[in-house]
Amino acid sequence: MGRRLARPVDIIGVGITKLGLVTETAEIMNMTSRELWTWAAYEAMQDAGITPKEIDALFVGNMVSELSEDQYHLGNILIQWTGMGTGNGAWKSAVRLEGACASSSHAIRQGVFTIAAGMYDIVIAGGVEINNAKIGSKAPGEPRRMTNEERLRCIYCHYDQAWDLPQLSLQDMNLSQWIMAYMKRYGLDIETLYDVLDARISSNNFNGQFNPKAYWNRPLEDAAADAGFSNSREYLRSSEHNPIAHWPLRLWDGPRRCDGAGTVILCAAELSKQFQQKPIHYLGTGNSHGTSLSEKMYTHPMIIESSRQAYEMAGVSPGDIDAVEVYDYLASEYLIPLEDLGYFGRGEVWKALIEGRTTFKGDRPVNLSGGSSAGSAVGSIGVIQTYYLVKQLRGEAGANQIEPVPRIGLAYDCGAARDAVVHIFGR
Amino acid sequence: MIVVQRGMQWFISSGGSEVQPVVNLFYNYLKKENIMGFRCSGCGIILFPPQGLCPNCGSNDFSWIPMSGRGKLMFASVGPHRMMGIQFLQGTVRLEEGSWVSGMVLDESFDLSKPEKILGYNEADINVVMEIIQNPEGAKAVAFRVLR
Repeated sequence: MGRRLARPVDIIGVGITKLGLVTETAEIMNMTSRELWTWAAYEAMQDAGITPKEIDALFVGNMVSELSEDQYHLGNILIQWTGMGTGNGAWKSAVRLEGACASSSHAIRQGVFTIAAGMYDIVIAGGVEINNAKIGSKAPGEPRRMTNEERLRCIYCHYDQAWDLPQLSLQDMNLSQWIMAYMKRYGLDIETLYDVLDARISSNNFNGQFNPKAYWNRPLEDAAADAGFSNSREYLRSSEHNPIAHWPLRLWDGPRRCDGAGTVILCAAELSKQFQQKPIHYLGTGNSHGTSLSEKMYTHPMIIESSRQAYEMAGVSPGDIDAVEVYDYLASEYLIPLEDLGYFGRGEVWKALIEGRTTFKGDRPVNLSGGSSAGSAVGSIGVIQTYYLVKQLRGEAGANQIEPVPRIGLAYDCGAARDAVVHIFGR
Repeated sequence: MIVVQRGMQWFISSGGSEVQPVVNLFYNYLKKENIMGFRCSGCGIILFPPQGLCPNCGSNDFSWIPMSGRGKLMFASVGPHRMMGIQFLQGTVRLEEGSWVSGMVLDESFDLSKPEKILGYNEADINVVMEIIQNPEGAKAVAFRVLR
């Protein structure tokens, strides 16, 4: 018998910003994390039909605000911007949580736990990230694009500074070992692997192109045509447009790093129908830390354990899951988690990709958001995954709605390939 | 993390008169060409690199021991270290003492222009020996030299 939340929790509202670059993307141009968060928060409150006065606490996930905005203490700033701080006599609680790319997933979990524990009835949780621009007190509200070194520092600060970095141990290199171990385990030759990697990009792009808030939502064939290629396969095999990064992984096998925010309104289930006629139930969660190393590399105990916790709490099995969002920072973190989560059997994901089963039209849909191919706003990943799953479960996903409307969805987020978080949602 | 020295032993402790830092000591050993790990006084497990409490028995009582330096390269990859501006080999190594570690692999015979050759280094049971290097930023590090 798994653990149970002591009090059921629902999601009654969701909101996300347009994803993009605050130095380039028109909709979010010149925004700081305050405006991004407030955009997503207001949208979620509108969705839930509530006002700031009805929210008891705020949990914000964020990874790099010290490096992008010289800013600590986001909780204090954002609770004011969200209309929950001083000014309305509320005097409420807020805190920032950091867990690398899983920051917003941890914020959601903490929000859920405070309701389940009886501390609060309604909380707002989510994430905000600016990780391509630098903004500071010398030029408030005037972001400039980060230098390459500044961008690298944002990533490298999640490494163990006393071991990984001085020892030259990089996560991307470990993740290329994951994919080579997967190749070897299932007997894939390099040509087949590239067919699989191309299929992941195509699947993510096919799903993401229908999401107006995605950073990258252009059809892959259009991008190929712009570059003078007659089809996307030739484009993705071009060393000019898709160069090797960490062999065998290429540029497009990695994330499209961007800025953006998302929030959810969490509510004690006995109260949720007062606000939302389509509450989505937060059924289960798990979190397990490990390292990005394992004896087999094509399977990782932290992923299996985090999903075991979540399945037991939710009282469901992998076969019950209708749609999955998986944080595919690199392609290895698509193939391997989907099997460790049990959404596919061992050695099945690569075939499923080639067969087109993972698009919203397939029988095992993955990444309706478009995954990291559509945008990776690191500290906001988990909440953006949640947004898209909630929309699917409500039947409100628009052009890429799964039919029939899914009943149960699972989000897998992971910080630095060593901090696995699973959420399971149901209607 | 803080350590109290008692003779040849180092005890992780919340207090004491001779408090010293583990990370600092580990790198000072490297500067003196010593690759040292922790042996748990509670259960005998060897930890490399050293860490706070024993993951096996929970003990806070460790002694520094020299590592054998021997291990097996289990997985390897090739790519850029963009901050340091180098192209390099990285390996996952199972040390003779049992720990799994990741770091730079030294193998002059590897042709960086043929990265696909790295496939032959994966799960190939290749013997490696630890070697102290200075990384491009100046810090001492432990690398793994391939033995042929």
